[in-house]
Amino acid sequence: MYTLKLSFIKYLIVASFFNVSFSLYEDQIGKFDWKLNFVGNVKYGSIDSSKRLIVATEENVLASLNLKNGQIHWRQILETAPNQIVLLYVDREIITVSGGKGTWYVRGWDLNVGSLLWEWSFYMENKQNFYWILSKDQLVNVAPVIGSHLEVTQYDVRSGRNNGKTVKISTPWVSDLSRCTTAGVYWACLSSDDSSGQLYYTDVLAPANQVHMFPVQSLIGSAPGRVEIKFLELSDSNLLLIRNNAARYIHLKPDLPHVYPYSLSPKAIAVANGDQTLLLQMILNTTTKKYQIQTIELQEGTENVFEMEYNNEAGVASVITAFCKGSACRVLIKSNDNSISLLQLPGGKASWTREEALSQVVSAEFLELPLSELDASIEHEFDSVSGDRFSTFYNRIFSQIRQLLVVLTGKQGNSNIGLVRDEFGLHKVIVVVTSVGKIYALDSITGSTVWSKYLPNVQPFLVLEHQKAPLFVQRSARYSPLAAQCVVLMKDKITGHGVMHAFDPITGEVVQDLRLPYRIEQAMLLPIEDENHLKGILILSDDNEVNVYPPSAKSIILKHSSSIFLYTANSNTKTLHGYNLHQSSNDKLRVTSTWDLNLGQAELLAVNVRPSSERIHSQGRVLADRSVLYKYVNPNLLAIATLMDDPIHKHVLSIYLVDGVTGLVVYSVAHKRVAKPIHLVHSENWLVYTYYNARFRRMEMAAVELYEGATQSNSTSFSSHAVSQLPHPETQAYIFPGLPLAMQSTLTERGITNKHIIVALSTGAVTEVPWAFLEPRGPQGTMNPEEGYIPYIPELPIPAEATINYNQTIPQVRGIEVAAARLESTCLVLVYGLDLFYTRVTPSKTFDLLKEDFDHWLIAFVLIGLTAASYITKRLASRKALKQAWK
Amino acid sequence: MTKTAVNLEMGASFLLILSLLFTSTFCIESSIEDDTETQGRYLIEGKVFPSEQPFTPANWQANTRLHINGGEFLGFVKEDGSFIIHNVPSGSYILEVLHPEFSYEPIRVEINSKGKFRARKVNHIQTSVVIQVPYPLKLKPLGKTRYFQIREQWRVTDFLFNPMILMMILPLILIMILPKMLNDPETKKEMEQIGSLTKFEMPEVSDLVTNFLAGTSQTQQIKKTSKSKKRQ
Amino acid sequence: MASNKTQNKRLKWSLDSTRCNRLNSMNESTLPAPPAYSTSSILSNNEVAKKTDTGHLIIKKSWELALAPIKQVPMNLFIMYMAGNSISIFPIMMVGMLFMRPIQALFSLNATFKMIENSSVIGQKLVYIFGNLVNIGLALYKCQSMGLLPTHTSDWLAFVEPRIRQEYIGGGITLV
Repeated sequence: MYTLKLSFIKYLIVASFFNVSFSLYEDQIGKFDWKLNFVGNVKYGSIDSSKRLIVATEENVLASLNLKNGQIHWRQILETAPNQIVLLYVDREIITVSGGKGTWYVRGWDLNVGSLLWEWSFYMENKQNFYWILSKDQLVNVAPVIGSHLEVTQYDVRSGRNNGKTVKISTPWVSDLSRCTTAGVYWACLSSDDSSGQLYYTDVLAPANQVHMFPVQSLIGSAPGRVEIKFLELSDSNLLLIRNNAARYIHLKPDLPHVYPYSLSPKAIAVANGDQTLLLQMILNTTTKKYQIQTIELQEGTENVFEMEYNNEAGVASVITAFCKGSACRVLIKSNDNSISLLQLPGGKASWTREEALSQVVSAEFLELPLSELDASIEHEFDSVSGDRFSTFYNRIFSQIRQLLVVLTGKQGNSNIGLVRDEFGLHKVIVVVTSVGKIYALDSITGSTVWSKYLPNVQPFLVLEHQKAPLFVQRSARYSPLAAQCVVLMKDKITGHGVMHAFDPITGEVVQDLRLPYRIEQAMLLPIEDENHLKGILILSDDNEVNVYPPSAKSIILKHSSSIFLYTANSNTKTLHGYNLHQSSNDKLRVTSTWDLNLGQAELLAVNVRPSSERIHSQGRVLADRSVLYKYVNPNLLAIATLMDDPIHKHVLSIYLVDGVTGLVVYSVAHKRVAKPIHLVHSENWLVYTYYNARFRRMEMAAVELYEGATQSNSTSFSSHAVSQLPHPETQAYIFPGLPLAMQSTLTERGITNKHIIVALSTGAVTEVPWAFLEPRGPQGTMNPEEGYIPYIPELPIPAEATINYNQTIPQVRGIEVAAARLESTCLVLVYGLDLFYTRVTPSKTFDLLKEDFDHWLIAFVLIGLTAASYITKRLASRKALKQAWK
Repeated sequence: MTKTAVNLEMGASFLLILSLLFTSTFCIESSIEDDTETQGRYLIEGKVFPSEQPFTPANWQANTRLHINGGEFLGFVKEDGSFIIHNVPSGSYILEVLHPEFSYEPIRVEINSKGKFRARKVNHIQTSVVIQVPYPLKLKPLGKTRYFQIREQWRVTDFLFNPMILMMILPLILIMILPKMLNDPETKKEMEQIGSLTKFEMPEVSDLVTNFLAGTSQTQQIKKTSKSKKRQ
Repeated sequence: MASNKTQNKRLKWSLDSTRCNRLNSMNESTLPAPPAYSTSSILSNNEVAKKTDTGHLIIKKSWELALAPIKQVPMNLFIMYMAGNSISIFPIMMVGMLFMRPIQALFSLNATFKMIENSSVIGQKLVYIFGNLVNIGLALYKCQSMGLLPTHTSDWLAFVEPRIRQEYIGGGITLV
């Protein structure tokens, strides 16, 4: 009881601190935050009765979109990867089959609101391929075993009841599953790739299990070329046989398959139009080079061709689904950049488009906007080369006249519309790279897209099971008239070689797009600018060659070759390497290995460096006796987390702090019996990491802070080579009652405000944990209240007021990006996952701003009133005194 | 004999029907929990209640999700609020109910290898303390989640009860109002009466003393003048 | 006569009972002088006595002025003790007062010593200055015990510049 009471009191103290440090007011919703909702890369779609569009995506999202404007009506997020949605069937209710890893869930959803109607699941051994057939309220699971038989299990779709039997159908002709497909209740296979083979098919539901066999020649004739078989959705017992990019529609029947004479494209779909069936496909008009949609009625063969007024630089990939009533059709198409559009036929115009590539953001960066033309001209008058007074005088007068004109007319003439820097630096451009290869620039105030660019045939790098595309800012927009420049590195889809795309982030103009002839192993932004304020990019290829972009930056490397170090962590060989460029000469840049670190058998989990633009305000910590404990601030420190399997302790987590220049292990710690998820946040002189404590079954967060001691070893410069003694670490661990998906620490311009760690939880809430709660405070009892510590609480509270995204939950968070605004108190945060959410965070409240409801008028009124009153009373009093004197 | 035969027959058929029923239920169960001998997969079931009647939001069932261990297994809520989470192997799990507007307390559900369920409150610090919660679960919300801080309203009482203000205003009132009260002639008379009442005794003493002294001085003066007169 | 006049000027506010007598004696001279009594010698004696008396008085007064700050030291000590070491309005006011009084006294040094127009008041001035410096020293000690003086390293922490980094690092997990 006593301990409970004590902890409750501590919680009260802590809660009071929380109330002081942050929260939102209800009238601040939407003022400086926005959220964009997405569904993901659409896999299956179905249009229901001209009101709703039901989609199932690869991100395991089932959503209902409004057919008229494409807005999300409701959304349900199913289990994450490796589960996948494999079947979507819409009739009076939505039936989804999803699963993976042996567990399968069959669920029925309500069409209007998306609530669950029924659900059942079953568990099967992890066989490699399952095929699903839904026909007449029976869900059939077909599991082929190559070379011998099919195992067919039938379930009642709504209740999951089956008769417990698995029927085995002997199919020795199944040799290659890429030549097989399901078609209605049939299972069909081609025996070989060319026209000399046979088409076998069998009805899996019929009790007789008769196998029908027909030579391909008799169906589509004999012609050279590879023959493929393709599944057609929404059709009963139909499939496509494709040869040389021409397809034939084949209807399977118990006796003879019926071949329809239309020549179709391989991407044709079948659409129901009333009780007729239409075939819909996209064809390219060779004369106008534009895409058209052609519909062919199945029975009668009438064709209709519609023009498509839809242009997408990425190219249209496929038609997902369509809904036709008479001659008016609504067609849902998906482009190569994962955006979906609804076309209305006749007319061919797109009613709406959804950019679903933004649900797979891989990396993001905040960029400053340039000054407005007027402000830029004011700054330019000071750096005019000619020093004679008359010209500077003339410039100044002229620019002031222009300013006056602007103020009088109220509008800027021809300067940039809208994309100019505001006074507090809150208006920024967010450049976002998505995994499909499309780059977007979003406006940070509204979230709308400023420009977007699609890079064909690229994909991001796969780093430790996460997708990553390095995005470097070579030059910011501060140096007008020089334009800002960014570089994104990605990998070619086919060859795996590197792709470098340099562009201007404010306007989207491409500076250079290079397909490199080698694979990129590591890339680094040079820390030193050239005379055009451009930082070069150093790329290390997989055969240890060094390349520089732009080539003019080579001279800078040669000048500073002894102070530029490169490190790379190899997760396959479980080693870390450090390189230096000092052996480079004018003709060839060379890297030499300086240090190697072998991680043994451990699996590399994360490598984290301090953000390079971070500034630390105070170099030490003040103790109670007014002496200073200096912080160990090493800008070259790497934080490495590895997990090793251990027979006794299940898993052992090791955290190392390694100096990236010399390879010196400054600090290391091991935790036994822990499990994933493990996240690292490295900032200033501390490191915070999370892990799951498997012994107590709770999530824990630990903090390590490094101090140098009572004196600084060198007060002017820091060099990793001059290490006299190892720093002194302070550590502490806390219990965290939530599951973090991503973590990041706030960043401000001067580092004066408190630091908060922004944690995205699995519940969809993004919460802030103040660093003051996580600071290592020493064992209980020895801390001095004068030093400003909060008393130690073993369990970190997550109050609801600390949630920065209030009731807008963000599912499947992948990362958090932070940037400093020019206001010291504000930090800009972008959370990306399935949705995009942007907000402003003020860890020490807005100490450098007047509050929003600052009543200017009241104060002015009171002041003027009081001054007037004092004058009036003075006059009255003097008059009264005069009267008295005359009496 | 026939009666017993009939009875036996009836009993036998009865037994047969019973066994059929049993086997059918057994089959149904095994179809849902397949491969129990290899995996031991269980269901977690319960019911989620929304908040009280006037505050129940529309479609709360569609917006409610259940997370086991932060998303390892998901549960969705049917129209009556009941949920079933399938295919959970034995172990200890934290079950959370997520709704954007309401907060629910997390529950720790433990399934041991024999299939026995135990649900208790989550306590991260003292992990072995058991405060049991009924299973199948009945989850009620703790309340509406308060995401926002209420803005401080300016009230007149804050201004008036400030000690500095009190120190300034009350004496001001006293100084300004009291003299006005005293200027009123009726109150003046009353004050004088009160004053005279209290001071009534005092003048007697001082009067007596002065009279006494004056008396003697007067006699002395008379004597002096008489003396001087006599002289002259 | 002339000396009388100058003396009269200097000591215009002094009440001299002998003056009236002298005047009376000058005007009327009715009473004869007693034998072996000469007025001039008395006058000269009085003059001398008065001179030494007033000079002595002046010096005494100037020394009193000079020692006044030193006499204030115990009172200041007591005020310091009562004010306490916390940082709030009352101790700060007291410390301010302790500072301002000696400084104002130092600046009005000449005005204070203007009354004493004797030549050698250097000694007194020096003692006065010393007394005021002692008072300022007391005020500084009070500041030190309150913790207002920047004597520790933590007070200069805000001026410590961040260190220039000599080496730069870049890279990450391998992208292959």
